[in-house]
Amino acid sequence: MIDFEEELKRFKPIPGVNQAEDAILANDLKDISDIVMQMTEELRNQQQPEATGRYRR
Amino acid sequence: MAAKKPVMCPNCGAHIRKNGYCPECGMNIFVLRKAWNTSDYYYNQGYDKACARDISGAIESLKISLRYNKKNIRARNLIGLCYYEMGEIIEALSHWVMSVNYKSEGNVAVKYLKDVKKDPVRLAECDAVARKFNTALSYIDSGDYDLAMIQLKNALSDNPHFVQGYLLLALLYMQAGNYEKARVTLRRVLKIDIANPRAIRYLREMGSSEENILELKNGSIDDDGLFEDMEYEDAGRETSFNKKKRETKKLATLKETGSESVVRTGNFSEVSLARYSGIYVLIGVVLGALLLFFVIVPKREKKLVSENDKLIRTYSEELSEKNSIIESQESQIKELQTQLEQKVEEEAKSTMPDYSGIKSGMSDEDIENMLDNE
Repeated sequence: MIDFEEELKRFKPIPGVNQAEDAILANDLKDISDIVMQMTEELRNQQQPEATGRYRR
Repeated sequence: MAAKKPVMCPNCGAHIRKNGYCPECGMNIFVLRKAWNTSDYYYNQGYDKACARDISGAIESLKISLRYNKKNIRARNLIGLCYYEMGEIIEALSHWVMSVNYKSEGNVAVKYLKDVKKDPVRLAECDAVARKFNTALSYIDSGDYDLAMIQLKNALSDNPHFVQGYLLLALLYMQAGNYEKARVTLRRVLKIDIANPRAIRYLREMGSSEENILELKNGSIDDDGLFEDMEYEDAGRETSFNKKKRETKKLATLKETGSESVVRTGNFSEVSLARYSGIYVLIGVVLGALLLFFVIVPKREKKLVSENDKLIRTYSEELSEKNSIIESQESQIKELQTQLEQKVEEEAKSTMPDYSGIKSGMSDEDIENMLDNE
């Protein structure tokens, strides 16, 4: 059985012409390359302190 | 043997090492290629679904495609086209803008954007549709379902491809217990998006079997009468919610008064005045013509005749006046002429010499001689 109230929550407001910019920003999602880049960056950040630590020792 | 072309990093543009890693940014080209292939696979899936008019299915596949490669131009353009078909123009525009941003040369999205910009009226209409839908949502929040339905119908008459609007309207009809109208509304959704999951779920909830759904898809939407009662609703006529409330109230009062002879035999369908609109127009035209021939034209004729009489009277008066003037002047002329004649006679008499006393000195002979000489 359909729950009317629950079903209504699925309907979200539609952006107008004035909100087009927000819609563009919302559609700028992360893809695999972004995730890989982020992971690489994080790995580098993790490795750098270790390397500098070893050097100091 | 030709030298192998160096592979460039798509992220930073540096040369990729033999192990597949970029020395600058650390990107693995093999991972990236695999992601691009997967993106293309989902794009193909989305394309097939879009060709079969499964628009919502196509959108889902294309979204996955863009998760693997957000710069997949074909997937971006196609998802924009799918949103455009479902009446969500702003969403479509945002995808096309991003597509052009990633690649502007040889991109069909440039043409799409140009076409949309060329028609500002259509863009304003789409904005109005979005506003009406949002207003309908706020009406629903405040419990004004009738007003929400009117807003949605207005929005749908402006943009008959607006799937979200149809779905919300169908839900409101279902809530009001008007399942027939809900089915008609959902049929319109299925005509645009053949396998819309929400529309199919609503139909199943209303007890429609797979066969019924298939029949509904094949049915015509031209004379389904979805917007038939729109103008009456606008004019504040009774709508389904009010009707339902009124009927329950009436039944309650009847029960209270104790009248047991109330027998309900089936449903009374509301007489649609729109059916007879042609006859009303015809009657109006005939009445207008009669009014013209029997009231307006004779009155006008009478007015013209009286005006003519008035003119003739004034002209005849003027004519008689002029005639009298002419007569008096003619008599004056005559009088003056007689006076002139008299004067001339008098003058002639006074200037002529008197030859009565003169006797002729020439004899007949002299005259004859003179004539001979000549």
